[in-house]
Amino acid sequence: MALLEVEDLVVRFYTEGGVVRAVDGLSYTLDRGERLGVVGESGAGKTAAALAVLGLLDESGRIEGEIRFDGESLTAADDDRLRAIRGGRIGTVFQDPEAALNPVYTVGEQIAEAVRAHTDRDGAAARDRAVALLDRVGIPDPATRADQYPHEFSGGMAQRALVAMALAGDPDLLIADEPTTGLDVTVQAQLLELLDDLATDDLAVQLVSHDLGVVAEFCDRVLVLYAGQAVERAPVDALFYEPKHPYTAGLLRSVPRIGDGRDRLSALSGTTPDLSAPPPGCRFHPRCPYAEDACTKHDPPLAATDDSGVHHAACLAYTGDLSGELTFSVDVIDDDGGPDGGDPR
Amino acid sequence: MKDPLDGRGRLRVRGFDGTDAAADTGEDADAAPTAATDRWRRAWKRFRRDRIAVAGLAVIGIMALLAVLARPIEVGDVVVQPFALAPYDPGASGIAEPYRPPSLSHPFGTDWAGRDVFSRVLYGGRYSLSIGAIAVTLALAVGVPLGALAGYAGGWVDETIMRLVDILYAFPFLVLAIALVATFGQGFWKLIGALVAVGWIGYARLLRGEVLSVVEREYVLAARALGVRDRHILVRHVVPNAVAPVVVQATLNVGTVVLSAAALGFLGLGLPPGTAEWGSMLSAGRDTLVGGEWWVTVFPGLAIFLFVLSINLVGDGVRLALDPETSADTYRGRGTRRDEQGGDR
Repeated sequence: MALLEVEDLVVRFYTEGGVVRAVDGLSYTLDRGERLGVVGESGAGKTAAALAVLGLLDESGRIEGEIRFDGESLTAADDDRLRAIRGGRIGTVFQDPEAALNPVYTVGEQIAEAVRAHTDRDGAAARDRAVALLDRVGIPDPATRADQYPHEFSGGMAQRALVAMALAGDPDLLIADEPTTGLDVTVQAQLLELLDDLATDDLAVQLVSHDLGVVAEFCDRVLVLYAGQAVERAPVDALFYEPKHPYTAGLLRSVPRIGDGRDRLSALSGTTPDLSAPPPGCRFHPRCPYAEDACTKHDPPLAATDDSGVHHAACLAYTGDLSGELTFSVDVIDDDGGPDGGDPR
Repeated sequence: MKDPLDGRGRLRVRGFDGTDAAADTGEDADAAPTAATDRWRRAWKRFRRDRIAVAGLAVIGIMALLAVLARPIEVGDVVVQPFALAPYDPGASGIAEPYRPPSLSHPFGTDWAGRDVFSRVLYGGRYSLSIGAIAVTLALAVGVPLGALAGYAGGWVDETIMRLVDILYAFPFLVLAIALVATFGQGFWKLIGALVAVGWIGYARLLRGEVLSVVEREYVLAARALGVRDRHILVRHVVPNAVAPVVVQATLNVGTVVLSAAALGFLGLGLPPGTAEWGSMLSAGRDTLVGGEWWVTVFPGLAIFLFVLSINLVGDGVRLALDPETSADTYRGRGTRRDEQGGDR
C-alpha cells in the first residue's frame, strides 16, 4: 500500500471573481522512501495541492476527493487527529525560511516546541532533542545555535533549522514546498544533499518546485501540473529525455542553459489560464503548437504513453484522437567522456 | 549522491578540482555565533539611547519615589516604609492660616482649610500615579485577550466583541466615564473601574488589527503545519508579534488616564471631596483663581503637567524603540552613540 494516496483531489477557492478550481481532479501516490517532484508554473496548483494534503487551506478553500495517508483518510479525520498527523507523521518545509521562523523565539525553542507537541519529551529533554536535530541537519555548533534567534541565521541555516523542525515528530513523509527557492546554488546543493541523506532513511519526500534542475537532481518520479491538472507523470529520466506532453517539452525548452549560445531565452507563449474560467477541452490548447480542433472539445485523460505503464501524459495524442503528431524531441548536446575528462561531477 | 542523469547532456567544467571539497564542509558561510539578543532587549538598548525619553522616565521615577516616600506606609501594624518627606499630614487642616502664600515653612502655601499644599501635592502622586498604572494595566488585561481572540477566531466571536467595542466607542470617553461614576458612585476602585471600562476598547481594536495581519505570516502556517494547538499558536506566536503597538499605545495612555482621572476629580466625580488627588485639588481650588491665591491650583496643575509630559516622552521613546522602521539615523540625530546600531538592524 502506498504511503500517500491522493484520488481525484479538487480544491476550490470561492472568491469574488468566481470559483477558482486551483486543483482539478489530481490523483497520485507516493510510496515509502520515494521522492516525488511536483513541478509547474506559478499558479499551477502545486502549493494548493500540498496544503490540501495537510488540511491547511484557508477557509475559502474547499476540498473534494480522497486523501489517504497510510490507509487513513485525511479528509474524514477530525481536527485533533489532523493535528497529530501534521508534524507527527507529515513534516513540512516552507519556501521562505526566514519568514517561517518566529522572530521572537530562539531557534532551539521553536524546534523544542515541535518536539513537545509530538513526543512525550519535556523541558530539558525536548531541548536536547532540538540540539540533536540541529546537529542532524548539519548545523555546526548546534548547542550554541539553538540559543540564537532567527535573525542570526543565514538563509541556508534557517532552512536547515526548518528541516530540523519538520523532523521533530519523526515523520514518514516530508512535504517540501519550494525549499530551495531563494537560496543560492551552493546552499541549494547542500540542502538537497541533506534531503537526499534523509530520504535514504526511508523518509518519503514530496518536493514541490518550479526548478527543473532541482527536481532532476533529487526526485525519482515527477508529476507535472498545468492549470490544476496533472499533465504528465513519469520517472525522472523519462520525463527529461522523452517528455511526452507538449507542455513539458515547452517547459524544458525554456530552461536557460549555460553556454548554449542562444541569443534569446525561449518562453512558452501565452500565460496560464484564468482558473475561474478555464478554456474548454484541453487546458493547454491555447498555447500548444500542436493544437487541433479536437483539443478544444475533449479534455484528455492521463493516459499511458507506452507499454511500460509508468509514463503517463494527458494529451489526445495518446488516446488516438489527435490526427497530427507530436514532433518534438530532446537532443543531448553534450556527450559524456573525453580523453581528459576526469570526474564529471 | 544519487544522480539519475549522470553523464547525459550535462555541462562539464574542466580543470576546477576544488568542487567536492568545498561542498562537503556542510557549513554555510556565516558569521561566527554571536550572543543572543531578543527583541525587547534590543528595544531597551535603543530606548536608553533616546535621552529625552530617558529624562521623562527619570522624572516619572522621581515622582513615583516622592509619592512612595511622602508619608510612612503601614501594612497592618508593621511600618514598611518609615520615611516622611511631606512635612505635614495631607489631610490635616488648620496647620497654618488659610491661604498663606508660599514661604519657607510652607513652600507651596496653604489652601482654604489651612492644609499644606506641598504635602498634598507630594501625597497626591500616590493617587494619580497608581490610578494611571492600575487602570492601564487592567485595561490591557481586558483588551488584549479580547482583541486577540476576536482577530484569531473571527466569525461570530469577532463580530460580538467588535460590535461591543463599536458601541462603547460611540460614547465620548469622558461622558461614558462620568455616567459610570455617576451610576456606581465614587471611590478609588470605582473610578478605576470606570476608566478601565472605557480604556480597554482601544487596545482590543488595535490588537485585533495587528493579529489579523500576523496570522497571515508564514511562521503561523508553519506552526499549524507542525500540529501546534490553536491556543498555543495564539498565545505564543501571534500575540507576542502583534503586541508592540498596543504597548506603545498603553504607555501613551497612562497620561490620558491620569488626565481623565484629574478631569473627573475636577468635575467632583473622582475621589471623595477633600482627597489629596491632583484633579480634586484643582477642583477644590477653582474659586481661588479669582481671588488671586494662585499657589493652590498652580502646583497640583504643574504636577499633572509634568507627569503627563514625561509619560508622553516615554511613550514616544517606546514607539521609536519598538518600531523596526526607525532607522539608526533617528538615534544618531539625537546625539547618541553610533556604534552597535548597525549590528542591531
